[in-house]
Amino acid sequence: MKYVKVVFLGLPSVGKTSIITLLSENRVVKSYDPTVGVDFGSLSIGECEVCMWDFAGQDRFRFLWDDFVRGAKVIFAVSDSTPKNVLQTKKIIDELKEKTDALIIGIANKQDLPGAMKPNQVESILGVPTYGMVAIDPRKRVKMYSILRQALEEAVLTVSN
Amino acid sequence: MLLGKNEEIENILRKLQEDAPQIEGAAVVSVEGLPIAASLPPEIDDVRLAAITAAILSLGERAVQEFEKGLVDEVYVKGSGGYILVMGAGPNAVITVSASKDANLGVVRLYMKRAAEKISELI
Repeated sequence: MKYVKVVFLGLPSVGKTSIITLLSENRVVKSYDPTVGVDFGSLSIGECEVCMWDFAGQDRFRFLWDDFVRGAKVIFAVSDSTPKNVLQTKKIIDELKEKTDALIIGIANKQDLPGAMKPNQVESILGVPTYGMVAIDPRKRVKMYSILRQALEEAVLTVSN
Repeated sequence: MLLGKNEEIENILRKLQEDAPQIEGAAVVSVEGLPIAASLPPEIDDVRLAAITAAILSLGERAVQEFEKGLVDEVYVKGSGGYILVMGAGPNAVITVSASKDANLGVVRLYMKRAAEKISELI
C-alpha cells in the first residue's frame, strides 16, 4: 500500500471542502460551513491510499500552511474563477513554489456561475495546469477523480488498478 | 529472524497494548501525516487518523510556542467516551493512542513514552 498526501488550498469559500467531500464521500455540500484550521478526507485510487488535507482559507489560519504542506506530493490550488480571486490564488502559488517541490494543479471551480473565467484563462494567469470544476454537481465526481488520478501519475507514482 | 522496521513497530504497539490494556488502539505516523504502523479497531480509517495525529501534534507545538511553554511533550484530548494521547517519537514520527474512559493515564503515559523511545530509535 502506498500512502500519498494531497493538499487542497485556496482562499475562503472557493470550494475546497466541497471538492474533497465530492471525492471522498461522493456527496454534494449544500451549505457553507467554513473549515476551522484543517480537515481531512481519504480515498483509494488503485494501490494508493490518498489522504486529502483541506486547509482553512482564512488569513488567520495561513500560518499553518507551511507546516501542513510538508510531505505533500500534489497540491491543488482552488479558485472560484472570479478575476480577483484568481489573481490572489496566483500569489499563493508563487509563494508555494518557493517552499515545496510538490506538483501544483489549479482548479477553476464554480464554472456554473455567470462571469466565471474559463479554465484556460485561469491557467494562463496561474501558470500551472488548470481544470474547470463545479464541485456542487455530483456528475463532476468522475472528472475530479480523473484529475486527481492523473496528478498522482504525474507526481511519478505508480497508480495501477 | 530479522524483522522489518514496520513489523518491529507493530510489535512495539502490540506490546504497548498488552502492558496497558486500557489502550484500545495505537498508531505510529510520520510527521507529514502518513501512516507507518497501526494496531487499531477495524472501523478506524488509518489514513485520516494519521493526518489528524500529525496535525494535532503540530498545533500542540504551535500552542506551547505561543504560550512560551518550551517544547511539546504530548497532547491530550478527553472525550466523553475516553482519551486520545499524542506524543512525538523522535524527530520523524508521532505516536497516538486511544484509551478507555476508566484508563489510568499515568500508566498509559508511562508505557507510551517507553514505546515512543523505542520507535524513535527505529525511525
